[in-house]
Amino acid sequence: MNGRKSNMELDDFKNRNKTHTTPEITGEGKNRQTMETFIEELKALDAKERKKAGIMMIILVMFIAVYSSSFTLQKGDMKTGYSLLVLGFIIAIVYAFWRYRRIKDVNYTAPTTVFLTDAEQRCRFMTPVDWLITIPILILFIAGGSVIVYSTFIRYFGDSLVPVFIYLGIMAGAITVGFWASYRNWEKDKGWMLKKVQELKREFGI
Amino acid sequence: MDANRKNMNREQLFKEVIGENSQRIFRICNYYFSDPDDRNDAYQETLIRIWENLHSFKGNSKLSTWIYRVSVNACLSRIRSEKTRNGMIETGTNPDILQVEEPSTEEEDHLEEYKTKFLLQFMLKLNTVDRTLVSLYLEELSTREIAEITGISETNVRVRIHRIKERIKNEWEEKQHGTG
Repeated sequence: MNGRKSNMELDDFKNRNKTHTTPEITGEGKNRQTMETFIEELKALDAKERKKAGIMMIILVMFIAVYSSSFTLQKGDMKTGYSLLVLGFIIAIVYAFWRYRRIKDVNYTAPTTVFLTDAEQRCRFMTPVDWLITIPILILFIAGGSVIVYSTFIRYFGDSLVPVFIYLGIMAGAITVGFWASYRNWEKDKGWMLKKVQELKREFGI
Repeated sequence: MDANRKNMNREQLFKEVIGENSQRIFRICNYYFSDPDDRNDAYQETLIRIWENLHSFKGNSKLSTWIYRVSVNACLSRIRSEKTRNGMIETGTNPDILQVEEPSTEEEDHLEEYKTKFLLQFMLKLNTVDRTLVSLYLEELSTREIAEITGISETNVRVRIHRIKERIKNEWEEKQHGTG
């Protein structure tokens, strides 16, 4: 069978498959979309995203306004405590907004190696930048909260630091549970994805 | 970007770009996904990514290169965002493609079809990078363009494609000798 003994050259396939019939967009029967309806959906998606970003901005401004006004009503040490908490909240909200944008803004036009490196960063549980932002936020919460607790309970406990230690214990517990829950959530949603991206990166020799 | 395109609004530009490149995009999706639903989903996702990123095309590279980049990244993104899915080329579970039956002597005319099936089966065994390189190579892109799309150096692209060519040739010969 001479034909079967012929060579197998990758180049022989270069001009093949160029007559594929593309789906008009996708879907079958009733679900089939035309270019027009597809563009309408894309526009609707854009509008939804703009709306979401707008709502997030409004919430951000509202939070800043509410927290800022709450600490201006305080006096003495309480004011210091509140100002630290407010600062912590503002940084936390701006950080949450920035994180949301970072996850959403994926550059599909980058070379694959760059695309995968970016994807790896996005899939990580915490990047060094995240730690650099999160740790000061926690310090602000802990310091601000401690000052408020101390100032509030001074009339009952005098100079004793017991209320502050109780507060620190509660905060430590809340932070531990918060991190553990976020980690478990990340493991379920993104952990396997990170492994996949790293596998792809290894294949690409990055 | 040419002057005509500069004057187009996003919608007009999108229509023109897709009109010119839909087959390219679909072929790339076809190399990654054998299941028709996965393929169509990947195709649609690629169109969404093109729509979202259209503003970033400045004409520094050829439009086709840009399109291939978005298509490859969208397909890879889909591969990594799917846990397990039957029929995906990556998992190599599509039985229709895996079944490469040799043509009998009477079916000599079907040799080309047999070879195509052999190529598909061969592609199932490749890792994602090599599959990406083969798909772009079969699209008749130059080594430089493939390097631009994937971010792999030209030398590395050349070496890897050469190895793949040798490998497919050897596997074909082995199959022929094995079956007499």
